[in-house]
Amino acid sequence: MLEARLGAGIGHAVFLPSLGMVGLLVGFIAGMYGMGGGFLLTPTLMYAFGVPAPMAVGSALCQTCGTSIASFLRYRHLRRGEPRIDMVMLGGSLIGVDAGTRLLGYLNHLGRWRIGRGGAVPAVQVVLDLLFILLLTATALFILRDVWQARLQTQPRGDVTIPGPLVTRVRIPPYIDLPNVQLQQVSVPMMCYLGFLLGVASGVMGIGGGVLFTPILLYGFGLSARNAAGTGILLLFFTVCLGTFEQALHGYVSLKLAMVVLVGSSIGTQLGAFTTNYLPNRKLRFIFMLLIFAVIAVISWNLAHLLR
Amino acid sequence: MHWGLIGYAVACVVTPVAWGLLVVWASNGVAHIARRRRPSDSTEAEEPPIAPIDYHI
Repeated sequence: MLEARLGAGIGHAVFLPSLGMVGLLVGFIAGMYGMGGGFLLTPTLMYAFGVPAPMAVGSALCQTCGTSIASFLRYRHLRRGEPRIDMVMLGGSLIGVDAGTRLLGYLNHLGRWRIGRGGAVPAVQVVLDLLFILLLTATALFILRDVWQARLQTQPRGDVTIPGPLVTRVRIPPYIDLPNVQLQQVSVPMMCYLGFLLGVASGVMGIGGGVLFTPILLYGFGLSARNAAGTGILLLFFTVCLGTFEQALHGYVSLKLAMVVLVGSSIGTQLGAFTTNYLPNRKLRFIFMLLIFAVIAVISWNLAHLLR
Repeated sequence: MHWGLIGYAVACVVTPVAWGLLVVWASNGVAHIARRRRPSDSTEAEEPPIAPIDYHI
């Protein structure tokens, strides 16, 4: 009775409580670490539940619509971050998510590749595995660097912006001032292209983009952690909404699957946020890094198994 | 393109957004009730403290 056949191409029954538990776990991590967890959800759906790659991407993006609007409403009253960044990047991001969805469709229609001596493997699965390994490795290294720097730092930095290389080195006119985060003469084309890349990542991998955008804001723009967290939420909300709509038109979204995960993650987020009151920040980040390495190991093992 | 497919795509966006709004509304309600039940002389934290790690998508 608790099993459900999640339609639209999955083709096999999925035990709903276990799917809800995955949502709970992803939400818990999101609540604890301040990231949406889309980058964990897509691989989990693919490997733990055997959901086809395009369907996992579309459904993960669909559930992010719910988490992103909740996050936007929670952050609205804090008035942190710079809304101009969202506005400038929005156009590029919307075009990017369209391009990403088309790219996913193209990869899906490529069928199977014969790599080495092994059997034919789905092209989309191989490409997504490689992209996730790349993204997660970069994220783990970013957190490792963050943990290391925090260890050496004796005083908190506060909300001070220290202009990063994307502001000081990229000098393509026209420019825009971002007074809320104390930045001047930031290249508009650079921000548009950045938005495009984030949109493509959302469309292809089903991630909200925070896992990519936060390091860019922290190290590329030089924003403080609090300002970085308050920037880009509205941008990501519109991007994932358009992405979900397009993916659903291609038949890549299982609404039932997404909603079960979303219900679980809504509860998990509250529990995760509660946990942060009791565990030190540095320890949390270290555990997070270990978790990411574990996910990288699982994806790599599956990829090796596919190619064998 | 079938209208049914377009309707499904719209539902795929609207349903999770509606759930997100519902969750925020419910959690705000719980926070409001918790604030009202707190003793009125407690000057600490009219506003709840900001979580150590900021929530981001």
